Amino acid sequence: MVWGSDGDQAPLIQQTQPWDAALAWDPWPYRATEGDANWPTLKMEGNPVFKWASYTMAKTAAEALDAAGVRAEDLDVFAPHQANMRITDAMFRALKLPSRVVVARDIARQGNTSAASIPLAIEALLESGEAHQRPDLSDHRLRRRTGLRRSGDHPALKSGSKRIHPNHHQRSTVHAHHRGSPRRSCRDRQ
Amino acid sequence: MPTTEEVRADLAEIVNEVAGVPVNDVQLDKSFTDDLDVDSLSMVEIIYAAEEKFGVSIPDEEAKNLKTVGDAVAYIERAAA
Repeated sequence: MVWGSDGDQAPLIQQTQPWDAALAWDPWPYRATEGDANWPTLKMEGNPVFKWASYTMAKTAAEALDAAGVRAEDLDVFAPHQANMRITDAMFRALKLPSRVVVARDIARQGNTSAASIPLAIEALLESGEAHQRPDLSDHRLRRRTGLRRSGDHPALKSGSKRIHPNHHQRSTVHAHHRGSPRRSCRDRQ
Repeated sequence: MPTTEEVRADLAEIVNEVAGVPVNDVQLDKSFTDDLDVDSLSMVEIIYAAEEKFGVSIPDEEAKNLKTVGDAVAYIERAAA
């Protein structure tokens, strides 16, 4: 597993209005001409967030593969955080994954379910049998051998990637990088 | 040092892979958005892939000025020189 956060990118997604005015607003008696609260909203710089999400996540995914001693071409299934289909496509290209790799595209069915998106996407792949359609692997062998990859980001632009080896306890190296602290690594049981 | 045509051809391959535009349509006088129908997210991908392919840096503030294929090719040639 490889994870981290990028505080330098804080301005890319931010709340532009404080809650004060909305909380102080008394809606009763309602007068349409005055007093409507200036509701806080979230503002996002779309293209920079797309760039960060696509390529920072691809980078952490590549680092996770390195840490696990696995090459991109060895993967069978790729299950990124389901934020945006375009980000999934960009990550797929950036990682240079082979076209045979099964890609989780659960966002088309579930939408962005935030932190739940990766387990839901993995479950959908297994439930649908989509990950079982490779002609050279039986179900049992797939479950034993498949290297599932999952990769997630977060509205606060934290990122993490982990290689999953179903039904297989395997030790791998975790690299954690936090702003303001030196890069460190530790061992983690997957 | 690659020729202008070689840079254009390599860039055309990238545009084709990212946005599905036929490589022969990616000519120097074509606008990415108006002629090739490349949207802003695809442009982000194209710029990133071009940086990787040509070993150059294209900052966001410069990328915004690359309106045509010729603009991009000229920038890459200058940056790689």
